[in-house]
Amino acid sequence: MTPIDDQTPPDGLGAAGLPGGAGLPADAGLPADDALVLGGLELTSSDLNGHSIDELADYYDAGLTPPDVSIDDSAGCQIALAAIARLRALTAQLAADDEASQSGVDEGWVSGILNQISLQARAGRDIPLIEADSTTSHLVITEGAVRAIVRAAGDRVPGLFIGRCRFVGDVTVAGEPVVVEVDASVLWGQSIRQTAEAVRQAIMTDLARHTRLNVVAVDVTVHDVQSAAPDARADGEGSADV
Amino acid sequence: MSDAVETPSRAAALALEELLRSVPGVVAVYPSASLPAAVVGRVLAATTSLEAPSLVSVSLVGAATSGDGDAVSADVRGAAVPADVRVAADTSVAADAADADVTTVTAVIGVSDDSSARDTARAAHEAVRGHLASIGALPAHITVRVGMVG
Repeated sequence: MTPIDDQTPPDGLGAAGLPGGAGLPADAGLPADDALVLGGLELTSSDLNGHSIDELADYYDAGLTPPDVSIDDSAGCQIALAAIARLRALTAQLAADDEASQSGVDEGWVSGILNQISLQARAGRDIPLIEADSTTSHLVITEGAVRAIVRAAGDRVPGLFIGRCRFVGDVTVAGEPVVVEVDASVLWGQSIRQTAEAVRQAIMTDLARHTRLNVVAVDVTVHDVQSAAPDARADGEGSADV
Repeated sequence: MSDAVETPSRAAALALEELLRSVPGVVAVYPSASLPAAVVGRVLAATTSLEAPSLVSVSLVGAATSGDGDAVSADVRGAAVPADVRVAADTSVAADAADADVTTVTAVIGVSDDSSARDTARAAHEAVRGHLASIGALPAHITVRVGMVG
């Protein structure tokens, strides 16, 4: 949609002043659509006093300034200018309609779609929430949701950040032993062993509360030690397994 | 497949979403349709006058039994119903020939962090089953999937 800077026709022009019933000839440079019906008159190049439609459009868009007598005194040019004014008004209306139709759209729909994509993309396997599925009931939690539980548990432990989370074992079968492996970073100054133990307990507790996973171990691997002060940071790439 | 008229399945779906949202611990109801179907449906709903796709999937059999006893199965995927709860056939279950005449419901819910996902899913399941019983739509296959916690 072409932006319309000025939707008001210059004085003396406008749709009301248009003759009705004819259109500009093709060589006038405008498409012969409804917006250009000029009624009964077929304008040729000579009718436009030697001007092209593009020149007249520029003249119109400039507010009919500076005054050009060869245009202002030409009936053909005035008809063409009226057509241009109508075209501009029509275009502006289309732009307004388009804008109005878009305004009714829920602005959150894009984020909603992205959330849905994210949710389903991370869903992973279905993990049963009851010991044995009956033929009529299927209660499950997605692997992605269980990862969220693990991360939330980590968030409750001060000074620790959960990175990757992985379930080792067949989580789709109720009662199967499962090992939870998480990578973590801890803040400088924290006891790695105590922090890892705290998150391990938090994860075990939350998984027991939310799921029926048979968690036999939670392995926390600290890959990094972070510091609020850059010079105090010490990369612990040696990994402290707990 | 779009259907703007009120159908038994759509009415059931509307009731089921209300029901699910009222279950303690349930904080969201997510689309149960496949990702492409959900995304395309939402795009169409946002850019056209078409209704948004279903959230809860229901293939209702039995509740709309006709006078001569024939079961009426309503498949109204993408039906024109208000924004949040929609009805759709759960084809993954309905495709099972042995279960073709059984009502199927699939719901994906979000659970608050301070609730037990397991208990909430169970409560949601019981609520759905109770509603289906009240409208004579049992037996049914009911799937409750916890898609998010927190």
